[in-house]
Amino acid sequence: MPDLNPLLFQKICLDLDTGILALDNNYKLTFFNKWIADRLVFDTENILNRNIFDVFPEIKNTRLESSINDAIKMGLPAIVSNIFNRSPFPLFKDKDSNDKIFQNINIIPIKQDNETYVIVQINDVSASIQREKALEEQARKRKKIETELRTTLEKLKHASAIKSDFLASMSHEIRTPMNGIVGLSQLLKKTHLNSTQEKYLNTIDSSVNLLLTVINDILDFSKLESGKLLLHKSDFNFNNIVSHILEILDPEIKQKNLEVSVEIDTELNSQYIGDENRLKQIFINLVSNAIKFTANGNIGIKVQLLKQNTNHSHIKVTISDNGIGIEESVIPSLFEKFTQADSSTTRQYGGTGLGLAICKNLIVLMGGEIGVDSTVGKGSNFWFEIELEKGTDSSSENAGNNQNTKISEQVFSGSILLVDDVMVNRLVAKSMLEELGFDVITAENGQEAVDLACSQSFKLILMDCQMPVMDGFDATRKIREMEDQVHIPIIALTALAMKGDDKKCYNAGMDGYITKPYKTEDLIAGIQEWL
Amino acid sequence: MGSPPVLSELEADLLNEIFNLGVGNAAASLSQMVKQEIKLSVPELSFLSIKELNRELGDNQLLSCVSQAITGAFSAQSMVIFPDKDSLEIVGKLLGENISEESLAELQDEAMSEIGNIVLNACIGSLSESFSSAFNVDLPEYVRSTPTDLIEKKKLDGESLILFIRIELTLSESKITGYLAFLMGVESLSKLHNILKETLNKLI
Repeated sequence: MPDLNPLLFQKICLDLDTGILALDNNYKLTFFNKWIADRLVFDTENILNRNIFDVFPEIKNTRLESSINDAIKMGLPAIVSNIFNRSPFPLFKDKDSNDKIFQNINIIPIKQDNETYVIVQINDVSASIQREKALEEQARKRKKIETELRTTLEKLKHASAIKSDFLASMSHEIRTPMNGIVGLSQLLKKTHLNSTQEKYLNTIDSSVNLLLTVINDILDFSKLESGKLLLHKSDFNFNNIVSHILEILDPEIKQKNLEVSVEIDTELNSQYIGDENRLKQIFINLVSNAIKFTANGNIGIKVQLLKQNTNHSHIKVTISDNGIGIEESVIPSLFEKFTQADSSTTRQYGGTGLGLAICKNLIVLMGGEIGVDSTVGKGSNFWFEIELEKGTDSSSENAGNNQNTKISEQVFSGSILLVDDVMVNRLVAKSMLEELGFDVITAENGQEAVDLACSQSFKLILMDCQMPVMDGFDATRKIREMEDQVHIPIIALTALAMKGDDKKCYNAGMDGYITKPYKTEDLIAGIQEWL
Repeated sequence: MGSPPVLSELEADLLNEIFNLGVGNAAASLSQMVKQEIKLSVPELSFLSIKELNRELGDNQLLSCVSQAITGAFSAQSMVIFPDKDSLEIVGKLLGENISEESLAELQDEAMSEIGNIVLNACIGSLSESFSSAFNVDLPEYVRSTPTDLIEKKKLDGESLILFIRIELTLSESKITGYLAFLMGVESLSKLHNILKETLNKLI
């Protein structure tokens, strides 16, 4: 700045909000402004006209020193950022502070009358660095929270696994005594009872059924939640499903004097591939809900074919009622677990609140969609849509007829080996089997069963799994090892009802699997194939 | 477009040596500053047209560029250029491992400006000492852009030629290729050529 009066320059620089100092070509400090004086902790009275490296010995052997050298010797300007050296000059926030300020420095050589002067401009960048640091800290905290969340998630997964194990053992513990109750009440029905006794027994029966449904719901739901529920696909027919569930729900429909209309598209009168039992479960859930929430009136079951191609059909099922209806605001949470439309109705209508959650999870597992349209006071339409593969069309009507045959009227013969360590269980099964026409030999553990299987011939063996001395798996393996040409069907009769339990049975060499508690029909269905 | 000056073998050697000295000094300064061993070398030097420069730098590649205008015995727009992703790697290695990617990106501009300033100053200093002639040099300016935009920003006319120098930077087991470019008008180029001749004459 050849035309600028040095005094004017100094006056301009004096009050700037940035540090300015000037050096002559002998490294002498010829000027510094107030900004710098305010930030130096030593006395500034005698520093003028002294060598810069004497005034600030800390900048020796730094890039600042070589930059000042280059500027004076060769006229090279430089920037010295805070990145590689935070605070080259000993400048502090205030006189009493220990906090050095972070500096970005520009070194600007100025040539005048063949002399080179150097202006050093110092900017305080502490605030922006602190902001960056704060951001870094924030990012660090965020990462920490993420890690904590991940740990929590792991813990939750672990807890969920413990819950599943607990449910599995609960399942076993509950099913064993239930088996006694179900079986014995069935047997008791066949004895001579007076009308009061019969009424009591029917109540025991319906209570047991209710309890079984609740237990099964809880188990199903925990399996669905942990992704352990698998679908078992087979050929089925919608007509059969609907007539079967109506048969099951018939007592409740009659009790409330409700009318049920069924409408199934004629195109759907063929076989489809899917999990028939799970579909029945969904139908039963939705229809019994409709029954539960309809005091009097109609219930409609409609199965429609929406569209189809050569291999697949898109099907919509609607269960309608003219019951109490559902508030619009609760519909979104209706398919969540433990939810009923109105918690105050829980007492009036009962239920675990798991039914719709199970339905939703099953439908999702089947790749479909479930929903409800409802008007308070007018009723609800529960619907679900699924795409199903078409099955091989073996005369579906025959299949239907077979199912309708009254199984209890069938008569059997031959001898069966019944293996169970629990006396009540033996009593129940033995009575049922004898009623059906079988001769029954009993064994109390696996070892006894193996011995008996060696010495006598049986049409079939019903084998409990968990037993003292030798369990059912080992006993089955032993029997399989011994038998030469004749294969004796061995059917598990067990309270182990969790996923994978059936596989264990098959792996041990068993042929079938019946879970406790069971009714006569279940027993027949489980053994019939092997007779 | 001006045709590139035909340098004799000796002239080319001298120019190469001047830049070798320059980047050598720059490497020493950088190493001292970050307390790591940094090597810089100049394997190759050539004159290019703007079109050729574009091609050489990869037309659409994003570049990280520090430039300082110099005037004196000859005038030029001096530049240090690194591919943008490589410049990020350089800054990352110089600052060490404990730095997050976000902060790295924020520090990139400032850090590259300083690194570029060190390299350019060392080269300009070397030119200045070898030619015994001082230059007026501007403060560095940092730009991130494609080659085309870069040329546009520097308002070069079609006549300009570029003294183009490939540099290799080696630090903690990485070898990164960057470029030094001196963008000059025809007049400045012939001045440079003359200075080279004079300097050689004095030496011989």
